[in-house]
Amino acid sequence: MLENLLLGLAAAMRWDSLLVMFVATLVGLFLGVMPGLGPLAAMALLIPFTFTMDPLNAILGLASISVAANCSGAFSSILLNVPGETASAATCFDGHPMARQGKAAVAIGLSIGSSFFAAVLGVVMVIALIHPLVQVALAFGPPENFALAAVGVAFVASLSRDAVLKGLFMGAVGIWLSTVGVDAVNGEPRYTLGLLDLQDGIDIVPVMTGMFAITEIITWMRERGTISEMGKMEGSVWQGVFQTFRYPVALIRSSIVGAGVGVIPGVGSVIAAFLAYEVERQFSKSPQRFGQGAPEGVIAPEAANNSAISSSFAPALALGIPGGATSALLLVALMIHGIRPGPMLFTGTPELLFGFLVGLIIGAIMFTIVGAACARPLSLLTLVRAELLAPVFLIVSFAGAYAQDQQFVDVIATIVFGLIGCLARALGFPAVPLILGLVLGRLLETSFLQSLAISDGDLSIFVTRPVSGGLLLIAICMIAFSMLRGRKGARQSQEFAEG
Amino acid sequence: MVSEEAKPVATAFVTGLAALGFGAAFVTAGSFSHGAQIFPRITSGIAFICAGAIFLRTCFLLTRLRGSAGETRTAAQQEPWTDILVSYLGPPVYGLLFYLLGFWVSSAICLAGLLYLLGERRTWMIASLTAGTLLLIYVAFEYAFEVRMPAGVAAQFFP
Repeated sequence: MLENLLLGLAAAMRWDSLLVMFVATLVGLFLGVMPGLGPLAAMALLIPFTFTMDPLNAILGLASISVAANCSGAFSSILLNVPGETASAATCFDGHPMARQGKAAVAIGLSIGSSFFAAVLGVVMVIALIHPLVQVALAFGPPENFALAAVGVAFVASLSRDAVLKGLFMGAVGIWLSTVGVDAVNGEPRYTLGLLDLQDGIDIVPVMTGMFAITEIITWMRERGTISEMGKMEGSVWQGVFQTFRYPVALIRSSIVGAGVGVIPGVGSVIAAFLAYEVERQFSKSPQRFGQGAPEGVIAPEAANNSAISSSFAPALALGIPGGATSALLLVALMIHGIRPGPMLFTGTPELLFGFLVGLIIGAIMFTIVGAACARPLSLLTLVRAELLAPVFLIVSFAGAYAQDQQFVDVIATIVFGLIGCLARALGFPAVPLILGLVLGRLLETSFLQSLAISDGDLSIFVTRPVSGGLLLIAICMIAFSMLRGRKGARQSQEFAEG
Repeated sequence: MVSEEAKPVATAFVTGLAALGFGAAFVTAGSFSHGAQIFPRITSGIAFICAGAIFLRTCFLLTRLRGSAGETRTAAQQEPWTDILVSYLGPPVYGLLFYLLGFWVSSAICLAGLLYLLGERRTWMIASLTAGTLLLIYVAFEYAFEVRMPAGVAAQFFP
């Protein structure tokens, strides 16, 4: 194993390999920050270029662009309150408040530091624990996948403590929206109103662009001023990077949560960030700081997201089961260049495999340096007047929404969900549960129907299997606990006002 | 003048509509085949119950507000109606122009127009932001991704 690692390291340290990784990191950083694009777009862009490359350079480039695009999704979450991808939405909760307090550079530094640590830890866990991780992935069948996805939506709904019912409502709306279109199991159109454009269902990109980007842009146009309410910036990116390691418990715990959950195909990498955030808030001695700019509120989701991405390679490489769209694309690219997932993985082409894994670590190091260098100029966006930012980002958002499928219906969806997002924000309905419901809805339905098929229609399968029963119990307790705490808080506020 | 009741009234209205909508979705799902209707019925049912609960809770809150001797609060500063119009109408108008005139023409018009309407008066700033943004999008989308931005409905009338 050590010999193969050193082989991979020697292969990755050539000047041409480092140049490929540097360019890939820059491209991944740029695309990860743009609303509507992200890791998938970055990978899709680079893959055709890799066909003519040396296989190892191609693999190192893919590893670097994957790391950079995933890590940089936090930049727009922090600076603009617009998540670069679904998992980065959890970073908005505390990252953007830090930006409003003039600490954008520090917040980005926290995300870079925790991303680096978690990416490295995730790769180390894949190398050392690939077989146990694969056993965890295999232990999750349809009932467990359903329970975990339901837990994810319930967790996010319960994050809004004073509006848990509103969070549950939005989660249900998101899941319902995922049923629009042709049913994946029966091939029957549902809620399409006879429109051809709705046959493919409602895409996540215009919904996210609308509910986050357009809503934020409209808010900027109304409120004016700058994102940083202080009118200036405090601290530096490197200050934030080093500050990350002052929270070792949160860092390690979130990385382990992310690695453990991320290994579950299809579900883990989306839920890991929200789950880690809630775990840190529960364990914190001062949970009221979360949502107001707590450093742990940035560290937890970023560490979990990045370790989840790394650990999702365990079932992808060992079994050929991708964790999501990004790892599916990466897997195809790896197979094109000679890495065959399966039992012969470690003996067939060890220099390519370990070159890829070492490339993930070097990619994380490179992103830390390049990201930190780019972060300061980017964080100056928080000092730019909203009257200048809003029109520019409106155009970029519409371009990103259209570019996905090149259909005008996506632009319409962006506008509609933008206005819905404004209404939701004005009335105190959280947007994140809707997004998560839409992302996980298809998986929820497929797992649910598969479970019923296994049990011949017996719903008790969800509670009799220990893992799924335990997860569902956790979800119910979490919601009940949040509702009780919300009511207690409301009663205390009323007593204070009356007394 | 913004009253304390405005937000709960709006919440009650929206959730009442939502409850009706999801009730209709629940009934509509009955027309799907057995396998296809299970999940839409469950989710629309949960959404209906949540919307109904929020509606009832908000109505109860409104009843208490009206029954108490509370004062009507006024907004500290009234927002200019032009700002509200520009903010909320900007994206839909841009979308309409996007469809009619295509991406490049509509973006140039809307970018320059919005910058002006939001208070930017420096011509060089408007011109450079417009040109710079469109150049960035051209490089990223048309050149790198080879995504052709639409020419719009009006393009068919020009050779």
